[in-house]
Amino acid sequence: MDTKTAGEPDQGTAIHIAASGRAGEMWGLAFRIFFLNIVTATIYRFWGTTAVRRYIWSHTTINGEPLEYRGKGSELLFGFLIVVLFIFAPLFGAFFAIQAFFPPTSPVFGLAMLALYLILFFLFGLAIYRALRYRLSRTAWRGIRFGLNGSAATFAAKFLGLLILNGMTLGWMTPVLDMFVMRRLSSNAVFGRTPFQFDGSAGRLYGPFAVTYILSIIGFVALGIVMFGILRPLFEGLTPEDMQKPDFILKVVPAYLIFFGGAIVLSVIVGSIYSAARLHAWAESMRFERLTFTTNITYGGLVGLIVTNALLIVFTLGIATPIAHMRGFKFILANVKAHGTVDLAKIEQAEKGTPRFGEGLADAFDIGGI
Amino acid sequence: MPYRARYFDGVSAVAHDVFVEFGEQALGLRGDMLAPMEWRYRQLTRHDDGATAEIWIGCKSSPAARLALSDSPAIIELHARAPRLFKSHGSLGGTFRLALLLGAVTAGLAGLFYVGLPQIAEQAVAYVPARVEARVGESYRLSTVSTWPACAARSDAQGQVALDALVARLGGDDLAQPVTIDVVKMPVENAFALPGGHIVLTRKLIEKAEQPDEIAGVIAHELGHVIERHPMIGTLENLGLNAVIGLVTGGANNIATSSAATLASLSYSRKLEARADAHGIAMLERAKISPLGFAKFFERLEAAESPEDEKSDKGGLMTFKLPTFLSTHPASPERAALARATTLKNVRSALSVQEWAAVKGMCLGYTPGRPGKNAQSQPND
Repeated sequence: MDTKTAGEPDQGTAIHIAASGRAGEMWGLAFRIFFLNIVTATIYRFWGTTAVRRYIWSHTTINGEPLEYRGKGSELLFGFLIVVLFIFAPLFGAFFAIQAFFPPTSPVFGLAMLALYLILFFLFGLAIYRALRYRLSRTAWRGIRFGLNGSAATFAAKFLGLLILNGMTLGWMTPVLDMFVMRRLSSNAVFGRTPFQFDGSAGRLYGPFAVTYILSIIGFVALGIVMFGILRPLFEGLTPEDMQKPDFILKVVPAYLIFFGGAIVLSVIVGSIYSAARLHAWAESMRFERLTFTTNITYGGLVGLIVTNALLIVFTLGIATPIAHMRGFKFILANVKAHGTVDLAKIEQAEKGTPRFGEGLADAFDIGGI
Repeated sequence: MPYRARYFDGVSAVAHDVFVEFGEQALGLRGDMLAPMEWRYRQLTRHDDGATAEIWIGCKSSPAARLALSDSPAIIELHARAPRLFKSHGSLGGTFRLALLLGAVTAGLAGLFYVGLPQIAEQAVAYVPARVEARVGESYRLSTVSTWPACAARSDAQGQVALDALVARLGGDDLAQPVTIDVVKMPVENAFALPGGHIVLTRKLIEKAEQPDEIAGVIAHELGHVIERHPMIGTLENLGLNAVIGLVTGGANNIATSSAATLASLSYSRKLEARADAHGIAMLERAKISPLGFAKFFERLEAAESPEDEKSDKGGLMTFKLPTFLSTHPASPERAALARATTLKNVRSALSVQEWAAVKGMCLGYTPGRPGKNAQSQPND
């Protein structure tokens, strides 16, 4: 126990986080968003996302007091337009010009394509960071804003470097990459002026990662052998003309569907071993003031969530996506517990400004999440 | 009568106990550690979504501060003073108005594009350098013949020579650039022009033709498109459309999609088709080839179309259909009338008997000089 200055009372407050969103209410919202997206050729999506977030945030309480989401649909729309006009339009123009002036076999074309991919991956990192910054800056509790400090460009540059390293090591840098992302995003996050802290290393992730890696190789080889057995008799003795015929296509399409279905099921079953470990590492490495976190997320629980969410989205043709998002959010909050206390008197509003526009880049890369 | 409430000053996360009093124009806040404040009802904002029993409000005069009311008499009083705060957030009226506005904007943009895009493309084509068009055309031609192999065997050489000669005879001085012609093994009857002066005929189309004049008519029509740079216009239109769809729906990944296949499926407007026809018929006249073959060919394709359509639809859901010449060049009475109106004297057949046999034999490994192997070949006139 700390020695206390005389007269200063112990201001420590225990923290309990809960989520109370109801699927029934979210269904109403989901159907309205779906309908309006059709009517407006998906332009309503910016307001739809905002409405979903407002619902989820306001139904998330810390010690019984709700979070506040202050974002606006128009901010997301303008963010998107800015990104399209100032980033994607020039990129697209340059890409087309290169295509028009250089044949695909020339070295200039190859270099330009390489540069394009590097730029896209850099932008992807930028998108992750800026999207979180926007969301946190629009989140408040007791009138105090959250935020994300630090430079998005620095993050994106290091992210790109790690991605390249990860490719060169055939994926074996994944735990380092994931830990880097979690550390950067968590330790630069603030509530008011008080930073979150993150104290974790990639070492603990390598065990589960190796299990996932080896099992997926075994699984995919097995799947490949099964598919070869199914497909070979179908292709035997056929000319290219035969392959354009409907009855051939009718036979081949289900076979491919089985393959892709199998690949997806396999990656969920095997990938969740690593994903569960990563969620544990994230929660257990994070601290805020005198708060620490634990989680009782289990492998089975995670697989159950992913499978039910996927079925929900597939069988409603995407209409239920907001419900799936809410279920994911509630799953995390229900399984993460905060220990210790926070001295609320020490938490003060940050003076810093907040970004004016929304997460256009994230929208373009479809990593919007909730 | 004052009510108890909790106040958050927007500076720290600590709660302050305050008393709230409802006045005429504003509510008053008083507390031990607090200078008295007035929040005007007009400036109040609501910050909870009805998820908890408490009502969270703010005031535009101090935007970061919050007041949490839990006393039900206080909430009833607030409801009476500022009913606006108690309307549900995503009120149907507001959403409906927003949807109507966005829907109108979308429809307006779509309409503008539907009308404007072809016009813009027609104007913009003048600014596309020939060098760029040549590159685009080259890559389209490459992707066409890599999907559907061209008839380029040794036994096809004579047919190719005959077609090249026909192109030169039809084009005369009208052609600003060399025009290539490829016969490909696409499983439908079609003909189309790519940017940069590349004409593609399918083997099936040649199979369907009974006389060389018919093929000459098709080639003349496609040359008309080439002279007017219609394939480049089509490419620009396609590009613009993809860019707009990508822009609106946020699909950054499909922005750079355009291929020879989409070009083959592209149908030009009636106006562009008529222009190509006018060129085509002028070329046929100058080359002394009867345009009647062209008109007849259309009629025959059309007569053959309907039963074949039904047959190929039997595949049900899984049928993928490539566009045919008729689907991209819908028969027009104007075209037939135009072709029949031209009365040419001293017409010559488009190809000699040997040339025609060589063309008909393309991709079949058929060598001219040994007629009789190709039963479909017929003498002209």
